[in-house]
Amino acid sequence: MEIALFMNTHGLGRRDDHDWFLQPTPATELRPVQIAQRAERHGFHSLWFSDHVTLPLTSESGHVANPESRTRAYPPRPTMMDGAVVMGAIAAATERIKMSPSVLIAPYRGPLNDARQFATVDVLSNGRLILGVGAGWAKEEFDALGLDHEARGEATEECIEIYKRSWVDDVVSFQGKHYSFENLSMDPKPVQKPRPPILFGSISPAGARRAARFCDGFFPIFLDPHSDPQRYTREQEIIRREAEALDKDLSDFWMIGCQSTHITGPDHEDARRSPRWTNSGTAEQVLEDLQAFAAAGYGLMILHFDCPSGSVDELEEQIDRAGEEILPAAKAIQAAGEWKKDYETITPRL
Amino acid sequence: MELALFVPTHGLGQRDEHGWRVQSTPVSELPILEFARQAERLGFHSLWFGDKIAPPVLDEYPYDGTAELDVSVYPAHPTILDGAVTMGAIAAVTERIRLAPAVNIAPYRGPLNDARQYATLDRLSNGRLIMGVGAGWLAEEFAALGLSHEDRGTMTEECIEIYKRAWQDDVVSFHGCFYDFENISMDPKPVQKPYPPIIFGSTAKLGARRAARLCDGFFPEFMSAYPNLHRFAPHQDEIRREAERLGRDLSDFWMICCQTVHVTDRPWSRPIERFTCAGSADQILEDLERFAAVGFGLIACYFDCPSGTGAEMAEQLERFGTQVLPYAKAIQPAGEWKRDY
Repeated sequence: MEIALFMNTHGLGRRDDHDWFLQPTPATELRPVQIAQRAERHGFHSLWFSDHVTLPLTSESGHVANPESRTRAYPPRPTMMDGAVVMGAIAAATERIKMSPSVLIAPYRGPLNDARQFATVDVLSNGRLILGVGAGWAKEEFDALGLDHEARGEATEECIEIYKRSWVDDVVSFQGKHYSFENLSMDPKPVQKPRPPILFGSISPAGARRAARFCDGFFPIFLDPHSDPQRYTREQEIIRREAEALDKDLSDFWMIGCQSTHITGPDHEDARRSPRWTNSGTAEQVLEDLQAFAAAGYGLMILHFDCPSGSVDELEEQIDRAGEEILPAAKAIQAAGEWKKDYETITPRL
Repeated sequence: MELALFVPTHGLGQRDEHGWRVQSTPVSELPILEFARQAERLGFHSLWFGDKIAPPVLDEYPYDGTAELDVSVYPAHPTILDGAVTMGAIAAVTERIRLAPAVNIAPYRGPLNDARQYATLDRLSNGRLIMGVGAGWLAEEFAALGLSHEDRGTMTEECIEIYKRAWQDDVVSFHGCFYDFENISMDPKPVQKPYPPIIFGSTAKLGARRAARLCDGFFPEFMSAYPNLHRFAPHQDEIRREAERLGRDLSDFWMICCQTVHVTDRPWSRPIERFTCAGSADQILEDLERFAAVGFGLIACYFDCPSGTGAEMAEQLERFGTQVLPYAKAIQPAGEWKRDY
C-alpha cells in the first residue's frame, strides 16, 4: 500500500465523536512548500489538494466528509489556498512526489482553463500530475459562481472528455450541451503520454459509474471518525458491472481513499477510546486499520491528519511520525481485489 | 527607470520590419524557472506573463499589440504555459523579483477564482504580486469559452471591483450585471495591504479611462520594430482628465509599457533603419531615454530571439542585464507619474 498526504491548503483537520472538521491554518503558518518537501523526504507517494473557489459563510449543503450527519466541515471563513498555484510552487521545489487536486470541481473554472493549468503543472513537475476530478456538492458555491448546480454531473462528464481531447488532440473540438468549440490549439501537451491519470472523486453510485466509464480510478473519502472501509463496496460492484459491460480491464484502475488520521502514543485517549476512531491511535493501531482498507481493495491511502491544536507544527509532527512509523510497514500491505497494484507508475495504460 | 522581463511562456519573440510575432517554441527551449532566476540575479524589477487559454487554430491572426501595423501573429500551435501556475513555481525559487500577469484577461476564469489564485500567489511570494488586468480582445477565444466578447469591458470593470472586495472585505458581497453573490468568504487575504497594485493593460483610450477610474496604473504595449512612442499621449491626457475629475493624485500612478528588445555586441549594422530598442547597449539606452521622455518609468522587455532557442534567450538576458540595466537606473522618466517602482 502507498501512503499519501492530504495537504492543509484548506485547513487543519480535527474530529469529534461524530464528525470531521477543518480549522483555518493561521496565516503566519502558510508554508505548503516546506510541508511538501518534508513529505517528499519521508517518501510519501503524493500530495492532495482540496478545491473550492469560495464558500458562503453558512450553507445548507451537507458536506460529503460527514455522510451521515451532513454537518458542514468548513468553518465560516476557511483559509483556502488555490490548489493549482500551490502545485506549481511545489513542482518547482520538489523532485519526485506526485500531486493531485482532491478533487478539482470540474464546472468551476471551465474545462479549457483547467486543461491548460494542469497541463502546465504536469510540464513543470516533469510528469507528476494526477488529476482528481469531481462534480462538486456545495450548491451555494455554484450559485455564487453563476453555475447550474443541477447540471453539475452532466457538465463534469463533458469536462472530462474535454481534458482528454485537450491533452491528446492536435486540434481540439467539442460539441456538447454545456461546452462547445471548434479548432482550438492546446499546447504544450502534458509530459505524461498519452495523458495523466484522471480519477473520479465521489461517494455515490452515480460517481462510481462515471469513474468506470470515463476515468482511470475511483476515489471516495472517509473522513468521519467511525468510517467503515467497507462503506463503498456497493460502488465497487457498480464499477465491476460497468467494466464488464464496457469490456474494460480493471487491473490498471485506481482504487484509493482518503481517511482522517491521528498517530499517538499508547496513553493518548485516541489510542484508548472504545470504539476507537478509524486510523487513530498508535502506529500499530493505525496500521491495523490500513490493513482493513487494503482488504477492502484500497491500494493508496491519503492521510488527512488531525491537528487539534490548530498549528502546522502538529501537522509536521504527524508527517514525521507517519514517515517513520507507518510508511515502511505500509509498503508490505497488499491490497485485495483486481484493482491497480503498482502506484509508482501513474500514467494510464491506454 | 526600472526594467522588467516579459517571460516567454507563450514562446520566444521575433521581429521584422513589418511587425512582431511569437514563434512556436518547444517547452524544451523554455527553461522558464532558469530565466526567472537569472533575471532576479541580474536585478530585473519584475516578471510579466501573457494570458491565453484557448487560441483558435488560424494561420495568422492580428495581435492588438501592433494594431498600428497589419502583421503580427501567434503561430497556429503556440506553446502556452499557464501564467498563475508558472508564477507559483517561480515564487518558490526566487526571493525578490515581482510577478505580474500581463495581463490577466478578467472575464476568462471568473473574478472569484482569479481573486483566490492571485491572493495565493501573493502569499506564496510574500507580497510580490502586481495584478495586471485587461478586458481581452480575441473574439474567437471568448466564443470558445462561451463568453460574450461584446460585454468584456463591463465584465472587466465588475471583476476589478470584485478583486478589491475579495482582497479586503471580511464578508464579500457584490451585485452586478454579470456577477452576483452575497456573504461569501475569501481568505487568506494577500500579504500586501490594502491589496496588491492593479494595473490596467490596454491600448485603447477607453482602457486609459478605466485605468484612471479603477486601477493603480496604465500598461500599454509597443511590440513592433518602429513603434510611435507618442501613440499613447492622448491616452495619458485621458488619464489626466479623469484624475482631475476624480480629484485623484497621479504621483503614485504606474505609467509602464512593454517593448520588444534585442541587444547586440556591436551597433546596429543591418541595411535597414534600426529597430527600436535593438542594437548595442548604448543605442538601446538612447531609446529608453525616449520612452522615459514620454513618461514610462518601467518597461517590460520582450526579447527577440530569432534563433528560437533558450540559449539565445539566456544570452540576451545576460547581456541586457549587465550592459543596459545598470545604466537605465539613472534614467528619469518625465511626467507626474509614479517614480519609485
